[in-house]
Amino acid sequence: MKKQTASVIEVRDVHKVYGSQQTTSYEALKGINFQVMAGEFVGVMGASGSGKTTLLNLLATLDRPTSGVIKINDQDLSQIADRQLSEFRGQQLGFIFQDFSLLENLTAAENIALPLDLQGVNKQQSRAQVEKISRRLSIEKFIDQYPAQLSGGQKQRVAAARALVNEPRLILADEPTGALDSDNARDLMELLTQINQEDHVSVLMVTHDPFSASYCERILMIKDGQIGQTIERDGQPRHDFYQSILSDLGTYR
Amino acid sequence: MLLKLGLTGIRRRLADYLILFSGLIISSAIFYLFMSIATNEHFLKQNISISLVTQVFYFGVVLLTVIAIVYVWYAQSFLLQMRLQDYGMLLTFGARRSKIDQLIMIETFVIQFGSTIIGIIVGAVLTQFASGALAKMIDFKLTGLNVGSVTSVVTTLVIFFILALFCAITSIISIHRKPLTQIIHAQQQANQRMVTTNKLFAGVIVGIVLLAVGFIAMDRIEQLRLMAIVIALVTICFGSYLLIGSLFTLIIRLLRKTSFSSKNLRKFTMGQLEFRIGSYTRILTMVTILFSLALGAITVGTGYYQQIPVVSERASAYTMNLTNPSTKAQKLIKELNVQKKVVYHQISAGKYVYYNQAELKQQPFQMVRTIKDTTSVSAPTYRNIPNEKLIQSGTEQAMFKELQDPSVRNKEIIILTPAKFKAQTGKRAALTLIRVKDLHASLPVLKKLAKYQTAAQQSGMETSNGYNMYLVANSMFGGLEFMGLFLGIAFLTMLASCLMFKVLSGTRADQRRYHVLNNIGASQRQLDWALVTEIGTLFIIPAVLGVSYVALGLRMFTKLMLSPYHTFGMASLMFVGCYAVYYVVTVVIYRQLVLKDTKRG
Ligand SMILES: Nc1ncnc2c1ncn2[C@@H]1O[C@H](COP(=O)(O)OP(=O)(O)O)[C@@H](O)[C@H]1O
Ligand SMILES: [Mg+2]
Repeated sequence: MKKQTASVIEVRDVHKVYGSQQTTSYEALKGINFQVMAGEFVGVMGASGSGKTTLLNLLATLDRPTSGVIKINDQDLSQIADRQLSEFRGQQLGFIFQDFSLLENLTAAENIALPLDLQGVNKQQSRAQVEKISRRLSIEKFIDQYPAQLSGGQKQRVAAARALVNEPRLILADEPTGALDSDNARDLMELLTQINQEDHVSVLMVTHDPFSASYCERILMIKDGQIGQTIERDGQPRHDFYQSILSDLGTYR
Repeated sequence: MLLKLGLTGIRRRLADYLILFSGLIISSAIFYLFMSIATNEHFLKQNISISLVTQVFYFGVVLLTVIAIVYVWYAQSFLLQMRLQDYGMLLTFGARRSKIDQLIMIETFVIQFGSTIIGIIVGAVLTQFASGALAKMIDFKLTGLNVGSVTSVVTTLVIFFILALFCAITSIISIHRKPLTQIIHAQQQANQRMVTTNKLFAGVIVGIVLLAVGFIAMDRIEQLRLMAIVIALVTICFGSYLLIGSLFTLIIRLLRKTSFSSKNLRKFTMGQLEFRIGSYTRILTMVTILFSLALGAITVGTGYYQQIPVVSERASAYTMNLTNPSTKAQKLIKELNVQKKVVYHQISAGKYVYYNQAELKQQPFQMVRTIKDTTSVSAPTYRNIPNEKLIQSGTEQAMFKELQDPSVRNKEIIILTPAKFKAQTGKRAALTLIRVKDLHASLPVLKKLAKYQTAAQQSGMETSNGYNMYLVANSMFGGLEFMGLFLGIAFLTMLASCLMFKVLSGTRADQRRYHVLNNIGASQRQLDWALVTEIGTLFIIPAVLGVSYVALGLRMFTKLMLSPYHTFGMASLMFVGCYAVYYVVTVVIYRQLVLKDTKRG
């Protein structure tokens, strides 16, 4: 397959200020610039409170920047009306969260089908898509169980399936391995890598775990609301990249 | 130290505790209000003339106790759910279980007893104001109302003390049964229990049978007396519980399999409903019972309200009869909205009282046409009485004589031609008969006008006209009417607070769920709709059941009223209207709480 060169995310001079009064306002993002190309796997790292979640929320269209431009799939988010945002989110983006964010009152299958239900996809097609993604993520066996009956790793797979079911071109993940043990974290990262490489789905992942970050091709280091440094993998083996992240973290902090 | 721990727990979740507190205050206030009337035999005896109603009232108290148990129990699980994680944390830090037990005891008692005491004060104020306002509204004089009765204060305190103790003990037992991990991860607990479809079917059938037994017992109230109420109480409560629990789950389970569910957030809403059925069943049963009691009480109350004027209008064709009304009285008559006003001039001399034939011909004397259907509450129709009937003895003549001034009543009636009447000598007078269009609306003026009636009429010795009949009927039925409206309003308040409580206590978990939905692309419209249908379902179930229960249960009142069903439609409409307002308010508050951090798109 040919690697696409179009940018999936384009962020230009984005600022985010929380609070309106001067005394209480806080600038969480202070001029962020970066691009994510189609099919890229990009990590965002930074200390707690550095603005990672804020950035991800802006990309996820859950919040609007105070100033600056964000384009996703070449669409300027500021041009999309509030009412259309949820549809945009449902069609173009997939989300994976640290806490899995599964709904306990729906079975795994129903959780996965939810984004399709929301878009009015008919039942047959929806079922076919759920089956396809479940087979791909090897979760068919427990698809009819409720989240409470699943382990953390299984839950995160179900969550990944839900993020992928509507075949988005971009996956946004906020510390997806944060609640997993190392084995399950490795599994999930391998899964994300596989999807990224085979299906050319771009991934933007926020993490503070160097191990998870070592699966990325490029890492944006964010500090006090600004991108301080970018670490490129440049085709290094994963283990070497892991070491260089560790050493970079050492000097960077 | 422990007290401090317990109290800091309260301070940290002030909003939740406020919900809990206000809910408990309302329940104990209503309970007290009820008790203060139910335990006041003096009051009941003085104001209610039909002994069966006293029993109905006791039935209300028993039911209210059951409801209070469920209510308090429900509040306790809300409290426990709130505190479970804190307890888990304390346990992991090495606190002994006995410490936790003490903590639960202290918290439960501080909350429940505190709210009961405030509730009693609120209840006393409510009793004073609500009953005063109501009595005024329905023009009924209450006697012997005792706002601060010792018996009801003690009863309320004792009952709520037992409830608090019961709650604390069951909470402690339930915590002891749980392993530590479950206590710590309380919030992530999935509390669904899977019941097989066969069991659900069985539940539906048993539920229906129980309900049937209950309604049959109510139908036999004349034979079974108080037993009927006891049987109905038990079977209807359990029957509703089973029916709601199983039928509801069954329907959702079936719907969930159809393609109807795979659109928008329907599956989510059904999941929400099925998932929490355990806790919903209890509250829905309670609300159903409250709903039907309130609606029933209001139907009966408004029924009496309607019945009183009907009874009065049937008693006489004329609302008021005055002989030689003074100019002041004439002025008052002008203020009335009169349907008919006739003046018959009379001359009394010796053993006779003379009337003018022309006047009687022009405006014949009228009487209420008797109707066969005893349950009818339609406005009366009138028939003209021919003059011959007035000069023969019989009911017609008796009726006419009664309306005359006592001084001429024993004289023989003679009807003269206009010329002879003119020439007749004797004491001249004018008998004025008035019939108003709307008795209720005319009451204030009629009351003033009544001062110009004869002494016998004023002292209540005579009920020859509609107004005097009204006074009698009102003193007879007014107590019933008051009770009906009072019960209805009390239950409605309880109902509202129950549902509010239920809804607000579910927000914490729902907030997260709706947030997730928003993240994965649910539009504001879809979220709103999910919310509206979820709460709507919860409101509709008790309403449908409640209206049907009342429709069946009203048969019990056929012996006590002209037609208990007459006001049923109106009362239902009114009640459902109020209920709908509560629904809208609940949705608005819920939406505010649940969607507060999901504002985008
Ligand atoms: N809704 C908000 N209102 C005000 N300040 C916020 C809000 N969300 C985040 N912040 C502040 O912005 C900064 C960045 O937060 P966040 O993006 O959550 O950091 P990270 O995810 O990297 O830990 C923090 O100092 C945080 O306190
Ligand atoms: Mg964060």
